Amino acid sequence: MAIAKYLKTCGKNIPGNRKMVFLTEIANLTSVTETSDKVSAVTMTGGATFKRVEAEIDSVQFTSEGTFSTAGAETQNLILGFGNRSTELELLRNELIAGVACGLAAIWVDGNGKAWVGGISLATKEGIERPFNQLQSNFDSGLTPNDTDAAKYTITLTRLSGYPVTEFDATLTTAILGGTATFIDWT
Amino acid sequence: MSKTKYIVDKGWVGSTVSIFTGAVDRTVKITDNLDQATLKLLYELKHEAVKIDDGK
Repeated sequence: MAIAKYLKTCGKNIPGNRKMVFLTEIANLTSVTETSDKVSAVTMTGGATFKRVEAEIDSVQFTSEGTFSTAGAETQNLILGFGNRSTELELLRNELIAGVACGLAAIWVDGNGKAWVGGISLATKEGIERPFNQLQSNFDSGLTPNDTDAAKYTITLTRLSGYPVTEFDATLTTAILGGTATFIDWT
Repeated sequence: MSKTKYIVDKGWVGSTVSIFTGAVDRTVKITDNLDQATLKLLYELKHEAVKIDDGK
């Protein structure tokens, strides 16, 4: 694969991600299509949709780290922070634990307003073969009422992949940001 | 002369898929006799339900 030129675009770079993340079981997805290396279509089993999961503000983080030589892969983590442990939150956690056995796909929007999908790629890359298939949860009640960093739930979804996550094209990004993307359950 | 034909992967018959492009979203039930235009669309979307039969 020949190296194409890369020239930087001058502009702001806003770290972080939006608080709303969209998750679905990988079995609900059959394929994605890329046009100019961006996702231009999502094909799902009939009636299936991504579900909204609202985390705390400034608590959604995506990390990736890998080493490549003749072989290689990167570990990708999608970290979600939640406050105030509740029955509903435990139900979500249980659903994610059940789903992670077969795998999950996730959509999130970064601080620059770009929407990304992880866990599924072109069939010629990894397709639906390497979704987020590990989940780690952390909770610490803290000790005192003014322990502001405590009593927060952190759920981390992890996958190992040879490919980066993929950005949505302008049309689908607009639909996601505007709350009209029909592959997401907005109810 | 080659005749490109799009054919259904039998394993997908009976399933229903939703195609989201942001512009023309549609739901398709995979059957043995899907029209070629729909099959071509699914093929272009790289959907595994459709294979190409490049008949000679």
